Order: sequence, then C-alpha cells, then structure tokens
Amino acid sequence: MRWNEISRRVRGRRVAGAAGLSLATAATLFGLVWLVWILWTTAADGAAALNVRLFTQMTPPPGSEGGLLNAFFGSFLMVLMAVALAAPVGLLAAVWLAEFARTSRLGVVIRMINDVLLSAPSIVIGLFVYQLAVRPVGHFSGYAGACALAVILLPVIVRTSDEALQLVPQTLREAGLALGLPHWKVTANVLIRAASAGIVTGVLLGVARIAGETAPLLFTSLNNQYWSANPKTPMANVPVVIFQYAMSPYDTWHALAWAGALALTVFVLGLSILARLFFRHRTAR
Amino acid sequence: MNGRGFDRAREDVAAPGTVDGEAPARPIRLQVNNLDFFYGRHQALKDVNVGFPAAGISAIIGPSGCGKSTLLRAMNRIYALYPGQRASGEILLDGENVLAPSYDVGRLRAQIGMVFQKATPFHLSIFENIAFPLRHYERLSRAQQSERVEKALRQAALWDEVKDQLGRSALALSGGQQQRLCIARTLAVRPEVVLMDEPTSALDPISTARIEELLAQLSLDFKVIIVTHNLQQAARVASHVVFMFEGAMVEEGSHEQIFLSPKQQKTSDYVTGRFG
Repeated sequence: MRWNEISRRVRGRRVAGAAGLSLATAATLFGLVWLVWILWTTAADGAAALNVRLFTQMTPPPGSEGGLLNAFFGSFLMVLMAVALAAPVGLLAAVWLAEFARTSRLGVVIRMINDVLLSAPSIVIGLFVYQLAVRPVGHFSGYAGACALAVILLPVIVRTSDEALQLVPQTLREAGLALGLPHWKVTANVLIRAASAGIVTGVLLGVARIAGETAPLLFTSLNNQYWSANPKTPMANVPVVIFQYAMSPYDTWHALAWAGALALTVFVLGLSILARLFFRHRTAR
Repeated sequence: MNGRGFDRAREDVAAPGTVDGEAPARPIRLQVNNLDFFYGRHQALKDVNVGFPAAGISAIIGPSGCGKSTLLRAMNRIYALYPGQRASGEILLDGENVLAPSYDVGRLRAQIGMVFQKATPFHLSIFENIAFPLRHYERLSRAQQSERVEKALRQAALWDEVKDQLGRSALALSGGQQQRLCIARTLAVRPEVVLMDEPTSALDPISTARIEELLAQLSLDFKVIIVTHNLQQAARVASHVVFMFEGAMVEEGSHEQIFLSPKQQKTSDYVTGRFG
C-alpha cells in the first residue's frame, strides 16, 4: 500500500472519529440539560417554600398556611411496610433463583416473568391492588398503599439480590459445600453475607424508586388532609399531595407542592448516594 | 493432635487393590477403580485406577488439562454442584464406595476435606470462619469452641499471627494467611483425608514455603492428596506420586520411582521437563 493512501485513510478515520465523538457529546449534553433544568427548577421553587412549618404542621385547607408532616409520615410508614413485606419474600425468591434454580427451565421462566413485573406500569399495579384490597373493604387505606408499593418493590429486590448472589465467586460456594455443610446453611451464613452489599444496595435503590410512586397510591391509599397514624384509614403521602396541590388553583398549595417535590428529590438522591457509598465500602475490602 | 490418621492406617493394612508389581505393602486408604468422568459430553477421566496409601503425602502431577483436578474433585463429589458433570466407577474410602448415591455427601465431605487454589475465607471473623462449620457437626460450649479453633489455627501454623485478633474479619488477612485459615477450617472438622487443589499457585514464594512446611506437619495426622502443576513442589513434599496425562493415569509410585526411575516413557519425558 502506498504511503499517501495510508495517510488518507488515517485522516478519514480521524474525521469519522471526531464526528462520532461530537455527536456523542452533544447527545450527552442534551440529556443533561433536562436533568439540570428539572433539578434547578425543583431546587429554586422548593427552597423558596422551605420552612420549619413544612415538618411540623399538617396539610392546610386552601388559603391558609401549613406543612406536610402528615404526608411525610404517611409516606414513611407505607414505604416501611412495603419493605417489610417485599424484602423477605424477594430475598427468599432470589435465593431460590440463584442457588437452587440457576439453570433450570423453571428458574429461567420465573426470572423472565419477574423482569416483566419489573417494567409493569405502576398504574396497573395500583388498579390491581385497588381491586384486591380497596374494593372488598370499601375504602382506601394505608395498608393497601403499602401493598401496592410492595408489589412494585418486590421484583426490584428479586432481580438485584439474584444478581448479587450470582456474582458471589463459585469458589466460595464450593468451599462451604466442601466442608460438608448443606447448601441452605452455606447460603444463609456465607453466600448472603458475601452478597450483602449488592442486596442492601438493591433494597435502597428500590426504596428510592417507590418513594416517588404516585399512580399506585392514588388507587390505594389516596390522601388524608389530617394526621392519621392508622394504616386502616386513607393516609396522606408526599407524591399524591404533590399531585393534588400542584393541580390546584391556590398559590400556597403550589408552594407546598414544590417543597414536597424538593424534599422527595433530596431523599431519593441521598438514598442513591448512600447506596453507592455502602456498596463501595462493603466491596472495597 | 491425636494421631488418629496413623492409628487408623495401621488398622486396615489389608486394604484391597494395592499397586501391582513389587513390594507394595503400603496400606491403601483411598482406592479409585475404573473411574470415568464427564463434563457434559466431554470425557475428562478415562478408566482411572489408582490407590492412595494411608499415610504421607500423595501428589498428583501432570500437564494442564490432564484431569488431575477433576480426579480430586470426584473424591469429595464437589462436582455434584454442577448438573452437567458426572462420574462413574468407584472411589473406595476404607472400602466403601463414596460415589454411591447412598453414601451421604455431608458425611463424605466431613471425612474428605478440601483446600482450593484460591483462598476462600468466608465474610466472617477469623474465629467464626472455623467455629461456624464446627458447630454444624458438634454441639460445643463457647470454651470448647475456642479450644478447637485454637488447635486448628495451631495446626495450620497461623495461631501466633492471629491470636490477638480473632474477632477481625478474615478478609483483612494476607493471601497466605487466608490460605492457612482455610486449611485450619478444613482441619477443624477432623477429616481423614485432606485434598488440596494447587493450594500455593496463587501465593508468593515465602507463603508457599510456609505452606509446604505445614504440609509435612499435617501429613503426620492426616492423609494429604495434593494436586500441583509444580514438579519441584511435588518432589519436595510428596512420598507418593501419581502422573496423569490426557485423562488417564499413566504411572504411580513412590517419589523415587517416579522421579528417578520412571517405567513409562511419558512419565520420564514429563519429569525431565520435555513437555508440559
């Protein structure tokens, strides 16, 4: 090959490379612009509405001042119940998938169904729980809200825990079994511990996901203008309050919606960072 | 250390299937008969027949892929974890076929322990790494556990280095210490045979030397079968050597026979470094 032909080809590749890089950079910037815009609007409008009353007072009637205490508490309680429901079931399912059905046909099918559930529209899950836990009882309730959130959380935990367990080195599994320990004992005492960073990270990210879910709560927990610590009754929660207040014509409610949005964003962001730090800390050793 | 390995060895002197030919009066502890092994459709072991003497260290040598690790992994049925792998033939431990489905796999692995190429400490404290498997077999008070943990760590020549930090995570130990911890963990459940699959190949020369010294000690109490790709290591530690090639057992015999006067051309070529 002649030298000038080689240099022409190299130049062509350089041009193509530069063009590709520019396109990729532009696409990244395009995506980031929206994210920064959303965060900035939330932070600016939310910060303007931020004050102590937010965490000490109940949601107010139109025109008067108040806070979001009942909504924060309701969200907290329902998310907690959802984790209590979904975490044990999800972990057990993941143990079965990763340790006892890793390559079996049934395991593959269930893993696929779980992935479908993972991407199921949350409004469908809301409707499903409405049929199951609201209509028979005759009224909305915190329990129903927790159930809906648990159904959303469950496939997240199954997927992440399954993957975390599958990432545990095979040698560790063999070492446990080679001591003559039964597989369940090796799983419970050795493998889950070795996978704990991935499992906890998955739960934290799952909590971040359900903390902002609105649609399933509209059908199940609905809302409550007053303080309610009884999950048998409708409970206030941050996403639905944001939804209702943002749609209202009142400026005080708008401000509270922004403050709630900011609090939710900070919570989810904090949880994601916590999950990452935890994962890095536990896997660094 | 109660020397039960030796006691038992002396008891069953008349084990069947000793090495053919001259003067093999050594009692056999582990006898492999007509062993075939398959990874799916690939046959990795072909009609392997070999007896392992009751005392001392046996080394299995051979080039990569010759089936030496496979042979080891058949002895404690660890391959059973993988659906595609199967073995046929017999492996007799004190006359009983451990490959028979009726032979309880938990019992088998308590009798035949295994140490792996890579150290595999559990994500537990140093103490718990040993005490947890121990508690599976015996109900022990806290004091008895401490006693057994200390004994196992002493046997593995690790006690002096870790006695003040038993509560620390085992993952904080160095690679060589982790490997000795894994040896201690295996010894604590009092196996009769200890299998070692290239236990030093991931370690530096100093850690390797420590483990080799340790092997000599261990062979007084346990039957040790070690797989190694390192000929010098086999020459240093083993009294009995098995040479394998392409899934078949080519030759076995005493250290002197294999290294100084091998009967097979293949063995001679391998131990003189002509291939592998």
